Amino acid sequence: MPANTKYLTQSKHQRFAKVSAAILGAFLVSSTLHLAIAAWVTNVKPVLATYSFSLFIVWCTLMLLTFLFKNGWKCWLLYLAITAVFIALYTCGIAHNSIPA
Amino acid sequence: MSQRTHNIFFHLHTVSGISITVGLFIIFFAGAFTLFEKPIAQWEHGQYSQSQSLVNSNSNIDYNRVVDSLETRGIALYGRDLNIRFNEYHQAQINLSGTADTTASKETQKERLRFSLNTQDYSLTQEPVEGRRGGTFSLGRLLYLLHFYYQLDLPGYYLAGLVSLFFFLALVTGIIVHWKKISMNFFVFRPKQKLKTVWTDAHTALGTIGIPFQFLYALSGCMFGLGVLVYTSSSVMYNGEVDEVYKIMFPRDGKENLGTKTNIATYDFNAFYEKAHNHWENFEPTNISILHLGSTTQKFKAYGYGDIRKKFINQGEIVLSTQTNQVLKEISPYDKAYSEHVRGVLFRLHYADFGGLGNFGNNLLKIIYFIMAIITCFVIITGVLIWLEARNKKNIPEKKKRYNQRVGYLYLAICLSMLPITAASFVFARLLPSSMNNHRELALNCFFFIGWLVLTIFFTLKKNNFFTNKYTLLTAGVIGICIPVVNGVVSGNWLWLTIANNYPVFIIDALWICISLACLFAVSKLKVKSKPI
Repeated sequence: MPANTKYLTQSKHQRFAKVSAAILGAFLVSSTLHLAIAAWVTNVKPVLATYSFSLFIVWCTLMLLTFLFKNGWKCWLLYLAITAVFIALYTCGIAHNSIPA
Repeated sequence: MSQRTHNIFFHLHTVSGISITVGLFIIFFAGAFTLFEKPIAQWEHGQYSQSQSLVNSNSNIDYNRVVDSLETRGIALYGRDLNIRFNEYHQAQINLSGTADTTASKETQKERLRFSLNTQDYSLTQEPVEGRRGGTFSLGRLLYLLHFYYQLDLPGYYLAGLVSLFFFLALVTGIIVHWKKISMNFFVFRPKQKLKTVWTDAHTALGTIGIPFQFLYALSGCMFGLGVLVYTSSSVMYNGEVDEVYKIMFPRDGKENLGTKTNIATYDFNAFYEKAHNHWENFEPTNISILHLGSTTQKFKAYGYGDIRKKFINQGEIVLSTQTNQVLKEISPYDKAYSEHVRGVLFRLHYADFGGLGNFGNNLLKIIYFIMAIITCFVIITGVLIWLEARNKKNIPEKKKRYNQRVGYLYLAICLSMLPITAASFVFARLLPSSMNNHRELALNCFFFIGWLVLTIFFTLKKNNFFTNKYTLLTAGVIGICIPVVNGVVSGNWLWLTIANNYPVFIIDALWICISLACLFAVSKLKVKSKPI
């Protein structure tokens, strides 16, 4: 009954890429997503309140998706690209709306 | 779902599940008892008396007499903050902060005082101020701290958060992997089949029943344990000032300069209480503060709850100026913003503290939570057994097999010996005389953790999971039956007396009788069906 190993990642550096992308990469995507939204709203409190639980929901979902990638490094690349987009949105938002209070 | 996806998720389920087994079991097992933390404390320290329904509502306190008693004790009250609430032993507890008067000596500015108040004759007994909640240590407290490994301080707290995160992962992958089989296998229970199918069926069926409950705890566990990630990451918006985020999420009253001295005897605090009490319909204050005592900036603050049947998140707060009798600040128990609800719901659901079902109903709710938590423990254990059994095959190398088995012995020994050591600790805690209260924390910790360690080593070296299972259940059953008897002998709180007027104590005794009977029943049904692994 153990999972069939022919579908599992065998190489060590691939496994490292996937595990790190799942934990760190997915976290970066999830947190920057919420911050990008927070930077564009006038009332930041509800966004932060939602963030306190949706961080983990988005994080976990992405964690699962990470392991479906064939190449872990490509996944890292994708996550970093998405994170960069969110950071850009965040920076624009902060510059445009001034710091939310 | 493709074969590949299924196998990947299945492997994730196994790895994330196996890696947190022991941690998660401890959290759920200790958490199950933590639901009854306050009753355990009362049970442990209780002495039988005819009239146990003492004054235990803030409405019945004469606040003027409290202030009088403090003054006659010779305490300089000017500029101090006074707080009165009932602790878990239903004792009125009074906290006094240091004075805000900057001209006073450094000692009086820092000096904190704590008293317990006798609600019959308003005499005060001074208590040590150490500890967040004060009061004497109890086994309930020990289990509460163990629930998030707080014996290891903050790192333990974060570790518990990480365990929750992996639990979340194991839960979601578990649902995905078993989804197709849920409808097909839900009613399939094949106890006569070989062991592995028994465990697989139990794991899947009970896991499915528990999904909503477990999802709630996986998510709220992350919110508690890893909440620090939310606040630190959102501090980016405020140039890394985490305090700024806390200020927005949990606004605090700003500090006000202390006014000049007035005669404290001229105020009628009971009238302020009445005003606060009647401010909203069915508002019950549970925590009363008088800020800046005896000054022109003196304020009367009442924190409490509205009718929970009307509003799920029903905390309310009102601050009155004692000079002008005006309302300075109010948070209505019946009208709250979305962001207040998020945290409120988290606490309500995680602590099984909702419904307003009365004494009986709310305890029943906690018992249902308790049973669900024990079911989750069972799902965790069966998960390990399946993992072991699935690797007990010919094509697995002998060395690997032996390693797996040793891991199995250790996991089961740690998890299952928690039950007898908890039962024994209840007996120990009840027998520990109150004259030893100063060393209670040390004594309980030593007994619980050393006992647990000894049992774990013993059962691990025994290398027989069947033996571990049988004898942990048997000893827990036998000791558990003794718990109500020991309590009766020591305190006179016999079951048939407490059922009438002391619910919390009754609950603990009754709970242990049920646990013991369940354990002994399980032992009587245990048979060696196949070669024990």
